[in-house]
Amino acid sequence: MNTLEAKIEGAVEESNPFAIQMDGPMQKDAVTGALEMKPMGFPQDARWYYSGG
Amino acid sequence: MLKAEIALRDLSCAPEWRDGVLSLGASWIRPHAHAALETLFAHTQGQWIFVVRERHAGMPSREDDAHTTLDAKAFDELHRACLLWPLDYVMIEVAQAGHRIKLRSGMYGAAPVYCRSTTDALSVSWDLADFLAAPASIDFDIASVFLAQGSPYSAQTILSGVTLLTERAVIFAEPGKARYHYPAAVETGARSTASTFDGDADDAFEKLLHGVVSARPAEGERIAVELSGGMDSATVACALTSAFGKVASKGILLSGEERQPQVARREKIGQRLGLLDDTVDIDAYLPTLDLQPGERKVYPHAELYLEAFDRLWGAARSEGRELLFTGVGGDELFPTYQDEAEAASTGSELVEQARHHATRLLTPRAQAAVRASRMFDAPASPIPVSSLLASTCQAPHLLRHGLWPVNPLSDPRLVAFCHRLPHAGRHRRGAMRRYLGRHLGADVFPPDYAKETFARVLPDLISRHEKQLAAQLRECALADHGLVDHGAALALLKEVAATRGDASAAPLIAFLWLERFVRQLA
Repeated sequence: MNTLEAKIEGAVEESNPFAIQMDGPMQKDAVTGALEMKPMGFPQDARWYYSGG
Repeated sequence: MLKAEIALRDLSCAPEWRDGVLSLGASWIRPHAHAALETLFAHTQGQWIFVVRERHAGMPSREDDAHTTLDAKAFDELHRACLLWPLDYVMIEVAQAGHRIKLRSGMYGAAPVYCRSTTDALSVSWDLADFLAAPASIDFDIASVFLAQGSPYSAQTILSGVTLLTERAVIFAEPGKARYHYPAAVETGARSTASTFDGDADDAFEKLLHGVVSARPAEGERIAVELSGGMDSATVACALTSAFGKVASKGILLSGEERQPQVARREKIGQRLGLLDDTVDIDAYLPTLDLQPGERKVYPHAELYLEAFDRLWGAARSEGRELLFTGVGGDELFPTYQDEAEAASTGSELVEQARHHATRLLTPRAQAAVRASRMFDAPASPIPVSSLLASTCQAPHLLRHGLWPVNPLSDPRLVAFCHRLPHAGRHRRGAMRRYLGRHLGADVFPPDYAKETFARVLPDLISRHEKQLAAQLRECALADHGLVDHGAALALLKEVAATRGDASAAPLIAFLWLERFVRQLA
């Protein structure tokens, strides 16, 4: 393989030359309870609350 | 390349693949049925992926995986392989717990999908017209930029709340939440500083181009090529006949002085390559200028000469052609770098003049929207953005005709190679010109060859229809939206009718097409 071919083949064979977003499969488990911001309609209450789960 | 209506709560249901539709509860995903595409459905415990992608001649089909439950490791490997699929794709990934879904696109953007995400549902379609059935409103910023002769490639579309899944982008949705991820920018414009390619550049160009067209599994009788008579489409026709033998060619013939040289050149190309040629006269299929909404939905970023192309695409499909190859991308394949600036291009002056006319058309508010920084446009892509935009315009029409678009001169590998060529390879499309010389003979594209253009068609047509247009523009939807100065629009129409100038016609055409689009909104 001459230099040119190596260059071309290299461009084609690099594992991800065009920057595809390579995250893995999604996490299988979903968190059912999380800390969330209190809805703005109730500013008089505590700032954070636990949504259960 | 797919359509879907998904209620997020249905994502916990067991998906069922039957009769070309994936059903889950009342929700569904329907891949575009086409011989050029394959569908892959694979699942593991609590998760599944669904991919619609272009078939590749050198890669085995994985369609049979639909009936297999994979273990986590095999699923992970398949997931990665799907992301790196070398041709175009749209991939849906679901985690059943939490009703989460990801939608992502490959890097070709050949037939991109539009999405509307609400708190509890996701709608997806390759046809923007599908989103016009419900009440819709236009995006003021995008409409302003469009009227000002800009062509943004962006997640943001002309319809508020409808998102374009741009190349390599990812959309994530779960109940109550959705977000959009652009990919990293890819700069292909790093030219070679050494003369590594000298001498071998022509062979390398040919090898890459032939590899690109051969990647599609097809026979000559299933292929048509759009042949204008210019260098780009002729290059694609040469590569196709080398790879597949006899193919069909379709072209629109211009009128006036350009016609005779165009016909003569097309005949030479057709005879030397053995093409099965078919043409229409542009004068017989002129674009309609009627601004009143008809039954057929129209798009603002449309193929302008749709009537003529419709006739050709319909003919291609009725002959059994399934793949339509085009020369899209040829103009961007051999860029000139800043320090190589040759004689100043008159093209950029024309664009400046057109923008000047466009600015006079806009209201101060729309002008302000145009001047604002566009912070949310898609990052630099492996495929030139004008090719991606061309695909966005043409694809819905082609898919409706049963044709799959292939633009070999926009292939990211070919683009990366050509952009890196030394000056001699890019100057006046050197590599392409020599390729054509080897395959067609040097007489077809002499150095003084002038490219044919549709530029005269619409200014002349508008001039002939000035009165009808002025009558239809007594009321102006874009003026009602605060985008356009009504008086300025009528003045621009008058000017184009009188001068038939290219620079004044361009913003008027954008205005007319957007006006028609807006009038059809519910």
